[in-house]
Amino acid sequence: MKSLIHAPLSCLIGLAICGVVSWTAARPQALLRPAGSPVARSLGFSDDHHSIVRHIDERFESRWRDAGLTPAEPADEFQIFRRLTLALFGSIPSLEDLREFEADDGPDRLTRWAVTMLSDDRCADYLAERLSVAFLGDRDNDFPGFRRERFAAWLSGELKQGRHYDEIVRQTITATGQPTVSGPANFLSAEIAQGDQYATRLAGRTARAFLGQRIDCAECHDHPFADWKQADFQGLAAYFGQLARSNAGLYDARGREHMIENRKTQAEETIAPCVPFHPEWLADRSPRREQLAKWVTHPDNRRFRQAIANRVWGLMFGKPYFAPVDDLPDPDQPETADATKLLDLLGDDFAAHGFDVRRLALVTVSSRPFRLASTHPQLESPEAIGPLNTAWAVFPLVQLRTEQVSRSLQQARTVQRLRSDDDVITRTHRAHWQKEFSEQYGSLGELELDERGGSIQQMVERMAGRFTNESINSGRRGACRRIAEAQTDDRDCVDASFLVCLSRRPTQTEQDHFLEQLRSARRAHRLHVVEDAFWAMINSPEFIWNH
Amino acid sequence: MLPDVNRRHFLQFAAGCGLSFALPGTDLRAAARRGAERHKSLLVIWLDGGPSQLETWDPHPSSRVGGPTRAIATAAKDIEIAEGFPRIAEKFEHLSIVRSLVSPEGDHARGAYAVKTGYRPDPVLRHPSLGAIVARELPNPELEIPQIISLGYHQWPSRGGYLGNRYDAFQVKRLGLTARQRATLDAREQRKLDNLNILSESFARGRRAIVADTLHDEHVQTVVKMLNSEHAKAFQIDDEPAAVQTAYGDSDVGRTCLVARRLIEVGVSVVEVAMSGFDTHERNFLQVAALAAQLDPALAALIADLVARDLWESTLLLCLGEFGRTPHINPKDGRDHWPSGFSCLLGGGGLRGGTVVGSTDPSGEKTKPDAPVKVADLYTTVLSAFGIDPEKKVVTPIGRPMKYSEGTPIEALL
Repeated sequence: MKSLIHAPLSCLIGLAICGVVSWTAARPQALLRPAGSPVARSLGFSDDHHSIVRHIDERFESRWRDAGLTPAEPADEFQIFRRLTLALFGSIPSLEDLREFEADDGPDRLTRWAVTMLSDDRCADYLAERLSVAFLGDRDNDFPGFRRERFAAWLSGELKQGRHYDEIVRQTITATGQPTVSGPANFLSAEIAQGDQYATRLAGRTARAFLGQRIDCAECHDHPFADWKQADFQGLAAYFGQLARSNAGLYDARGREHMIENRKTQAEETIAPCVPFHPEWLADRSPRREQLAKWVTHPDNRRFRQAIANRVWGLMFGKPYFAPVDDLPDPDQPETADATKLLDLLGDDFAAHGFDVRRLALVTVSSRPFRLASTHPQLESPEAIGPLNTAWAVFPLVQLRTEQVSRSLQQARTVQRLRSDDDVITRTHRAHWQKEFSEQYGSLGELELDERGGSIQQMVERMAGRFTNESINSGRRGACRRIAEAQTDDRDCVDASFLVCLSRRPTQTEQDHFLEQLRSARRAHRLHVVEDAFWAMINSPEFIWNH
Repeated sequence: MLPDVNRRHFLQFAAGCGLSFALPGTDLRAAARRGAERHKSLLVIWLDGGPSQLETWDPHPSSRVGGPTRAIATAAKDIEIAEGFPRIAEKFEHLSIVRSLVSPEGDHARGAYAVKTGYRPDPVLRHPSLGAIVARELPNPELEIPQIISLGYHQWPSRGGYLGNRYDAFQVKRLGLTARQRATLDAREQRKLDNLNILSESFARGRRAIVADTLHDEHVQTVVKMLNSEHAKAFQIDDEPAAVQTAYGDSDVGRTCLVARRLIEVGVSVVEVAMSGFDTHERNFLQVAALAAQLDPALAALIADLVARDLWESTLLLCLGEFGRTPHINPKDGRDHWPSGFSCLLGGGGLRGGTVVGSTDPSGEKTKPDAPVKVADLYTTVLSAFGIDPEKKVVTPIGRPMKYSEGTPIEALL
C-alpha cells in the first residue's frame, strides 16, 4: 500500500523538478537565431600558463623547421571549440554553447572558454571517468567488492577540489576499508575481485597507470626491449603481498610474505619487496604500500610526471604524445630521453603548479599543435601523412571514443547544453542510455587511447540503429523538430542544423543543397527534410572523427 | 528478422544515390555450392556461464561426483553422454568429444577470453578470437553480409583483437532486431545517402589521403549493400516449412540454430550461437535438464540438416563454454567453476567422428584430467583442419609478433 502512495508522489516530485529545470534553462527558441549580445562568463581558475605554452610551441616550431615541414594553418575557432568540448566534456558543443561563444567578443576567447570549461563540474566528472578507465580497466562492478562509480565519484571530487595528483595516487595505492565507502579502495578491490594473484596484477596496473611502464610482461619473461627482469616484477608485486580483504574491508596483513610458485621447480618461494629502479628513493620503513606510494610519486621520479602528461595529452588530442600511452622509454637513457622531452616540460610545469590535472590539460589545449587545422595541402597524398602526423604539424584525425559518440548523439538531440545539474531523472536516463549504447557499440576499455578504426557493426548501429533514430526523432523538444518548426528563414534552419551536429556553418554548396530540399518540400514534409539532414550529418565522417 | 527487400526499388536508388559503387548482382551460386568445393565455415555453439561437463558430454553415473545424472549410449560404440541429449546421441557417428580441456582461468570474463582466444588475458594486448582468425584467413569473397556473425545475447562475442575491428563479430542479440534497424533505411534512403555524399566530399577536402584511411565510405557501402542483400534473407526463418521449425524446437536456441544453418548455407565464414543459463551454482541438475530440453533438439536438427545438405564436411562445429563445473556438488545442489578438465563437443569440417579425447576422474579426487588438452591445442587442431597454419605470425600494432595458436594438434581428431 505504501508503494502505491509513494509511486505517484515521486512522479509528482519528478515532474515538479523537470518543470522548474525547463523553466530556468535558456529559452531554446531564441537559440535558433544568431545571438545578440555577448554573455559574461566568470573565471574560476588561474591561467598564468602563457610562458610554458610559448616554450612548448617554440620546441615544436624548431622541430618543424629542422624537418623541413610547414605546419597546418590555424584551425577555425569553432573547430577548436569542438575539440575542447570533446576533450573536456566528452561531447560536441551544444548550440547554446556555440551561440554564447560566438557572441563573446573579448580577447583570447578560446583560452577563457577553456578555463571556464576546466572549472565546470562536468569536466572533473568526465576526466575522472577517463582516468578511472585507465586505472581500473573496464571491468564490470562486482558488488559489494568493487564499484567503479565509487572510484570515479571520489576522483572527481578530488579533482574539483584541486587535490594534488601525487596525493591522489598515494591515496589510491594505500587505501584501506570498505570499497563501498572508500572510493580509492576500489583500485585495489577491482583486482582482488578477480581472484588470486591480485598482487601481481596490481603491480602491473600500478606501473602502467602511474609510471607509464609496461612491466607486466615480466611476469612470465624478461621485457623484450626494456630492462625489466622477472625478479623486478615479482619484487614490485611483493609490495601488495600483504594486502588482504576481510568483512571489514581492505587491510594489510603485517608479517605475511609474498609467495610465488617457481615455474621450473614448482616450489613456493618467498619474494622480498624491491623496486625496478632508483631504490634510493625508498626512504623509510613504513608499511609496504606506503613505501611503494612514496617511491612512485617521489619528486625525482620523472616517469610519474611523464606518464600523466602523456595520458592527458592523449585525452586532449585523442592520441598520446608517445604511443602506446603506457610504455614510455627510460628517461635516464640519453638515446631515448629526447623522445619524451616534451613530457618533461609538461610534467615539470604540472609539478610546479600543485600537480593540478586541470592545469596540465589547460597547457596542453593551449599549445599550438592543438590549435592547428586537421587539413593540409599535403594530406591529399598518402606519403606526407606520416611525417606531418609524427611531428604534430597537423591536428590528428582520430575516431571518437564510444562515450564521445554516445554523448555527442545525446547532445545533438537538443539545442540546449546538457548540464551536470540537470534533474536526477534526466541524468539517470542519460546514463542508462549511454550504458546501453556502449554495450551495443563496443568499447576498448583501458586500450581506448590506442589507434583504432571503426567496425561494420558500429556503422550499422549509426546508420540504422535505434540510438541514431532516437537522437533524430527526439520528440517535441528535440532539436530536429524545433528547427523544422521554427518560424525562421530557411537559411537559419540549415545553419542551425549544421551548428547542432557539426559545430560549423555550411559551405555554399552544402547550403544550396539543403535549401533546395527545404524549398521543394511541402510544409508537412519539412520535418523529414531536417531529419534526413541530421541523419547524414550524424553519419558523416566529420561527426565521427575528431578533427 | 530482416523483412523482404524490394530489390528493384533498391537498385533504382543505388543507381541514383551517387555513392561511387557498382552494386554487383547478388551471387546465389555461393549458396548452391556443396561438399568439398564449398567455402568452409566455423560454427561455435557457446554455452554461456560454463556448462557442467558431468551433465552434458562427460557423465560419471553412480560415482561420488556424478549426482543423479544417468548416462545414455550413443551411435558411437563405447561413447556415453548424459541422459538429457538423446537426439544428439543419435548423431555420434559425426561427433567427437574432448573431455580433458584445461584453461588457466576460472572467472567468467577471463575464462571466456581464454577459451575464445587460446591465450590468457593480457592487459596490453587483445588477442583475436578463433573466429576472427578463420574469417581473416578464409573470407568468403562472394558474401554480402558480415563474415562473422554472433547470434543470441552474449557478453563476449568473437573479437578481432589485434587483427582489428573489422574482424569483430556482427552481433544480432535478439532475432528481429535487424528489422527495426532496417526500417530507418527505407523510403527516404536515397535522400539520406545523397546528403551524406555532399558532407563526405566537404570533409575530404584538404585531407583526402587520410580520410581514405578511415574506411568510412567503404563501410557505408558495405552496410548499404548488406541491408539490401538477398543474403540478408538468411536471418529470416518464416519461409522455413513448419516441420523444420518444429524439429529445431520452439525456443530461442532452436530459432537461432535454424538461422545459423541458413547463414552457413549462404556462406558465412563464422557463425556463433550463444545460449545462456549454464552458470548453475544452484539447482544444477534441474537447470541443466531444462536447458538440455531446448539444446538437444536444436543442435541435433542443425547437425542433421548440415549433413543432409552436404554442408557438414565443410562446417566445423565446436560446442563449449568458458569452463566446466566442479565434480563436487555444493550444498545448494549446484556446481561451481571448474577450468581443469571440462568438455568440448565437436565434429564436421573433416574432423574424425566417434572419438573421445582424454578423461576425467570419476572419484573427483584428481584435480587434473588424463591427457589434458589446452585450449590452444584444440585451436591448433581446428586451424589445421581448416588448412590454416597455426604457427603463422602476425605483427601486432605494438610490433610484437604473435602466433595464431601456440598448441599441439590433437592427432586423434585429424
